Amino acid sequence: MDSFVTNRSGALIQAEHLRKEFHGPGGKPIVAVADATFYVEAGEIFGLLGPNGAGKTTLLRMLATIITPTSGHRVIAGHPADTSPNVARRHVGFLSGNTRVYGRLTPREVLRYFGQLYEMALPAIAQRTEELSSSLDMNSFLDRRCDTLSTGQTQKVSIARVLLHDPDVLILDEPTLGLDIMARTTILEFVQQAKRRNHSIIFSTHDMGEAELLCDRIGIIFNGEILCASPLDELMRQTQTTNLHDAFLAVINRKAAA
Amino acid sequence: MRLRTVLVIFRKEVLDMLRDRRTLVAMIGIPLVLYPALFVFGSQAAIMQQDKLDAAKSRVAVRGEGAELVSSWLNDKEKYLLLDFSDPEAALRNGKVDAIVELPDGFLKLVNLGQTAKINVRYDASDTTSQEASRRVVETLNDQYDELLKQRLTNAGLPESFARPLEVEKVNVASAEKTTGAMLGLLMPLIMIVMVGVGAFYPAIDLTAGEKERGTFETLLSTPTQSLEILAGKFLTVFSIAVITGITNLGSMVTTLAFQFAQLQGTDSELAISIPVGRVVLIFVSMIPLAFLISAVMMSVAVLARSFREGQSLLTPVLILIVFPAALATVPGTRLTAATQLMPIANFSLLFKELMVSQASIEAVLVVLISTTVYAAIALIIAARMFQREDVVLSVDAGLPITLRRSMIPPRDVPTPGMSLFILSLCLLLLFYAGSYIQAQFGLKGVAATQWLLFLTPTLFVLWYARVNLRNALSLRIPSLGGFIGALLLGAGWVVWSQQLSVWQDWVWPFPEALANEMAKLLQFEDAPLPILLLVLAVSPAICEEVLFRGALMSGLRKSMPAWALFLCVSIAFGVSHLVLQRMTITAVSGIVLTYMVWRSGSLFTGMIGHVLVNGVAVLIQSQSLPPAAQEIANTALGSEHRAGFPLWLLGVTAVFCVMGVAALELSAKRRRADLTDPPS
Repeated sequence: MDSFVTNRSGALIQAEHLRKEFHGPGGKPIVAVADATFYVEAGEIFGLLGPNGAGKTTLLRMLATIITPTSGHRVIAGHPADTSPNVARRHVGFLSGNTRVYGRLTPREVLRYFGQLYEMALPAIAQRTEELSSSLDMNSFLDRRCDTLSTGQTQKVSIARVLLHDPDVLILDEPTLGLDIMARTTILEFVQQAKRRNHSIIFSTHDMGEAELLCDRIGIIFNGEILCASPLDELMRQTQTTNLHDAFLAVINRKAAA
Repeated sequence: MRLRTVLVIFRKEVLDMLRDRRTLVAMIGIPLVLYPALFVFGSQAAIMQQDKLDAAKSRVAVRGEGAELVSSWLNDKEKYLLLDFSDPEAALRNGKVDAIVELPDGFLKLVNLGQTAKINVRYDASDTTSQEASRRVVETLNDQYDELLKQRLTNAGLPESFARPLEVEKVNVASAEKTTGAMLGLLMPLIMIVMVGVGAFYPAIDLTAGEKERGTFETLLSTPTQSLEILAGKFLTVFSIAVITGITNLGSMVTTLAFQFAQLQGTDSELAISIPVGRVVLIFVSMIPLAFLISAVMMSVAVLARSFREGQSLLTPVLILIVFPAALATVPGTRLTAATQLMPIANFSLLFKELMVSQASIEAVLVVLISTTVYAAIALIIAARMFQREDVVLSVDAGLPITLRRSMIPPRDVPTPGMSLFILSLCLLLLFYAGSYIQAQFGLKGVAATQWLLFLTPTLFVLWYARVNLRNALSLRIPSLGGFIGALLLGAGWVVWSQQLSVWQDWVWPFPEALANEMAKLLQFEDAPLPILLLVLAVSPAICEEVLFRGALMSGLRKSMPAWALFLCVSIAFGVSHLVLQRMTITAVSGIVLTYMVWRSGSLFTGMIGHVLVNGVAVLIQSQSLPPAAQEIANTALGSEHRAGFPLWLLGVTAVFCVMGVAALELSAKRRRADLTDPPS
């Protein structure tokens, strides 16, 4: 299955033989991600599907340079993330479905804090805050404490935080987890907009409909291994199925049987 | 580490914390209210209580001959209500009367004829009104005493000074400052330390576990910041809040006291007994490393929690652990000594107390400052390590870092050198802090407790927790016959030689007599029956100390050093555990002999045999329980006056025992090696 392993110069995300082990019972290592190699091109949305515990979060955290792989290489927007993580991080926007915001700060303060961590100048942060605030329709609550905001409003603050430093790589770990229809729509729109701006997006989800709607290519991860990384139609052809749901089950079952 | 990033994080966290009501309450609210309230209510309550007592009339019954005369002395209607009971004793018990004045037979005669009449004032000491009544009655009767004395002197034609050859008055030379300081020094350090802990409590949790719970730690790590910068920013925040809490507490405390004393002194000497500024500054300066230490410890513990709630349950024991050493200053008589000035937290507490009475030397201040800073640095390094661990900062699991959990530890045959040293330091620390106290307090029972609870239990617990094979680590094997006989012979020979060595040492380097007496008194040898003495002083150490030294320590160090270094380490550690310098050397040499037994025989039981022999015979000698002939030899050899040493023939015979024992052990070792190398066919 080496057909999807290609080293492309146009790809903004490149993962080569990424492996991550954790400590397991009795000191034996647990392999969370065994050997992940794939790429995501500019203007491409890559959907990462897999059952719980398959290694999705670990893989995405490695790509976002939150954790260090046990072995393998990551190239983010042309920068080697293993040797110069801080340069790579400037190109990455990371959002997880579990992430909340600082309740005692206002959205404006949250944005200023993260802007400063990305070493943006204060005027630039202020300008960017205005831009994002009007495009995400946040003006009405920009100066209210975050713990008084609704889930949808909080989600907008998170999106603004991700987009603040204008990253060209977006890594989203189950970003729609537990959201209502309105908030979910906000997220999906934001993903599509990023694609139009020619960014690379990788996101994990359990929602097949979401993946079918958005993704240019689907990666399926199971027991720490990437089983495929193909466009939806190709995946359905290979598995002789008619929708993603069936294709996903076919891939997983084939592997489990082997 | 980039300072700019650290400051960005610091500024944000401070802003965040200042908007947290809990932090504000702990930092400013409590100190501002607590001290004035404490003192106002305290003194108000005392005054009210006094007023009540003053106002109430004391109900007094007078009984016996001459009651009328005494009743006339007590005729102050404001103070006394004179009552008559048929059974005044019962009335006093039932609280119907507050005091009984009991007059002796022939009272009037005695008084009139110039003799001494004994008056009993009966009262109930458990009742404050009864106490007050007795105080008043005694006061009144004393006034009457002066009156009667004056009359008698006048009648005899003598001047009043005749009955007053001396007039003695106590004059307190302690400055008002010092007296005040001594009073305050008892409680203030404890309150202060606890308050600094309370100040650091919520920020430490919120900035670590809270951030994990919100999922924002992950987000932070995805920005171009390093975990050390995150730690530095957060630590500065917790530290600053702890310091500010300390300052507000100290400030509020000092101001309240100043006003209180000004009031007590009367308005003319306003603020006269303020606490000297210089010492307040010193207290403040030494509080900074303390706040540093507490913040660092709290952060490295709190980061292990995955939620705010869990953080609270992890940090509460830490706060309690801080209270104990802090409370040391409230124990009367505790002082800064060479040992206590190194004890974390306790040293600040004691320094604070001594500064209040201006006793602390500048050296002591420096030692406390420097040692606390060192502890704080160690705590911060630990916190930094925690922050750099992915499994800690991103943990979805609660509690200990995954790699420290028992289920995650690979089983092993022998402990690592690190584990062994950890066990040793743990046991020694327990011995230094708890053991010496327990032994002083509980004598023989304390010695037994030290052995079983402070040596054996922690050793076994750590080995169990680290999933070490106990049989291997502790060499719990039945010795070969040669090993067994060797240990018996060498042990028997060494019994005499170890005593002889102590005699020789005494000639060169005598055991201080005071110390010897004190130790003998502590152990209370005479009181306990012989079997108990043997159990506590011979059998228990043979089991517990062997498990620690020849077991856990020796098996852990064995592979990482040559034999001579192993002998040295195990024996010195063994010597050090006997606390008194003079005892250390002899014990260390005995330690070499015991180490040798276990090393050669491969069985811990040989060490136990040797240990029982050496200690057991020493106990028998001390308690005069040997057979008469042997006891006589021992008494001549070791008696307190001569200490002549053992006769040459005995030294010769036991030397032969030793040599034979060594030979037997060597032989058994050779056979053991052969068994190991030649696999059974």
